[in-house]
Amino acid sequence: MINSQDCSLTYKDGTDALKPFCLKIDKGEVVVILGASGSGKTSFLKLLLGIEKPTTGSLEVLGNQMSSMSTTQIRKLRMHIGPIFQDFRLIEGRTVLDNVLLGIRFLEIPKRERTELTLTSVERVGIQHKLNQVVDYLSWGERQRVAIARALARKPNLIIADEPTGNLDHDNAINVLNLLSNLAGPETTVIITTHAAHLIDEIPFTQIITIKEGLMEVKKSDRK
Amino acid sequence: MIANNFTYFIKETFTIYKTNKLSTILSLISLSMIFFISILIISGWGISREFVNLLKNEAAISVYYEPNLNSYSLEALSSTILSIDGVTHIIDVSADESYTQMEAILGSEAKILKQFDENPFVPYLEVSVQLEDAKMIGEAIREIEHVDYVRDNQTVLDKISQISIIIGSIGLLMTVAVVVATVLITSHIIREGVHSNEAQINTLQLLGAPDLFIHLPFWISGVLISFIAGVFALAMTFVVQFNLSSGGDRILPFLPDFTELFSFDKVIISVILCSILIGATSSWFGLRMVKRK
Ligand SMILES: Nc1ncnc2c1ncn2[C@@H]1O[C@H](COP(=O)(O)OP(=O)(O)O)[C@@H](O)[C@H]1O
Ligand SMILES: [Mg+2]
Repeated sequence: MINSQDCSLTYKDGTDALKPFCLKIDKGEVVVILGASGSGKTSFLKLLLGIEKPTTGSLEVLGNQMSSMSTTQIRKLRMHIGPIFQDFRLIEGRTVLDNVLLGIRFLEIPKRERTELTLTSVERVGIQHKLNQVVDYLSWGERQRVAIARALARKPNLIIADEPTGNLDHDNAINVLNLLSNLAGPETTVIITTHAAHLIDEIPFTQIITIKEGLMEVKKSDRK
Repeated sequence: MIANNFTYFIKETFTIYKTNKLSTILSLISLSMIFFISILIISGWGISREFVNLLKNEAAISVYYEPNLNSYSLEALSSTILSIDGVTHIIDVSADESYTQMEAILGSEAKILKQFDENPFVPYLEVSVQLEDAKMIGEAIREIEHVDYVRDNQTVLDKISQISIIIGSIGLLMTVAVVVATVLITSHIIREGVHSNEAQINTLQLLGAPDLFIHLPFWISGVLISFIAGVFALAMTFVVQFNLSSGGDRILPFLPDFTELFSFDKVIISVILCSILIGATSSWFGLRMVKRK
């Protein structure tokens, strides 16, 4: 699923974002990446999405060697990933329905299944009552739910959520973390980043990886 | 994927127009004007070429022969000239015919011809030739026996030659200018559209959408705007042409008279095809600046 050998990331300007790390994440896992702001969490997710390429070492995502992929191949890989970005990246000026649909239009999903898939995922995150509302005027928490629904509707093999607890109070944060970890299944792996150390005990994780100034370390593992 | 999202692409196209309202309207106006002017230029060019071709085919050399030549020798002379490459045909102009021709040219002034007791004109052969070969043929005829004098109007023929080259180059230049202007304007609209939708394009790339899916609405918007401009230009041409021709004298005489000329479905088809083709190419051109991520 995800496999890395001494993989590191140094940005063009010389910033050492991730020091060489070795990781193994299997199908169906729920992995929490824990680190302070600026420690390199988003940088790691960028590697998984092919936004950045490993500077050294190797990284394999869903069977693809990330260092040797063309743009077209990266796009194909991304079709199997459901990303929930820190700023959500919703399409402004469009409704909730349009946003979720736009995430699956170009996937290999038959047209008649699209609507059903959209409605199921919108219901699953509990935003069905805002279906025809333009996303611009939704609250932060509602926008987050739209982003999760869009990721979920794609039937991805890998869901990645960047700091989903960011702006939420304790109870809502736990709700979202539970929602996300419940999306894991036999064909779906979930990776969540957070800086809130006090919340992680509430999540049914399989691995906790900490990052400190770019140095990754597996802290706890319940992997069988 | 395209058939599955057909309505989406059309809707997106109109969203692109809506988010760039002003630039869409301005581009539509300028493209329509450009197409309209190019229709005028190109039909003007076509007519002038036809005119020059007409002159080219009319190029003639007058051959004066010895006055006492008998009809048998004259016939022999004619056939010798006719056998020269580039000579299309020969008319035997008698002295009387020369006189009548001059009368026609002078019109009301023809009475001065009455001053002469005898016909002052001599018979000659009017040799029609291909313009390009006129000089050579003139020289060849001078060498033939019984030929007195050859008048080949070389300066006039040279002028016609020059004019045809100039008209050809102007037409080509204008066509190139029109195509370049259209491509620049259309690819600029596409760029503008892409620029104001950068966030959306970026997100779609991160979600794994193929370039075709991302680019198609922009491409359609370019083709459609160029096509509509073509239709507007045609409408303007017809309005101008009908208004001017209904008043009797046509102000743009080089334009084909559409009221008589029913081959205007040809004009319609070529303008529409050209506008679509130009729109398609320039949109593709404009989309090449989208960064692939
Ligand atoms: N595109 C970039 N170019 C250069 N440095 C970057 C870039 N993106 C992030 N960084 C730097 O890399 C480090 C890790 O950033 P990031 O992965 O965003 O941290 P986190 O998501 O844990 O807050 C930070 O020092 C940040 O300033
Ligand atoms: Mg971050």
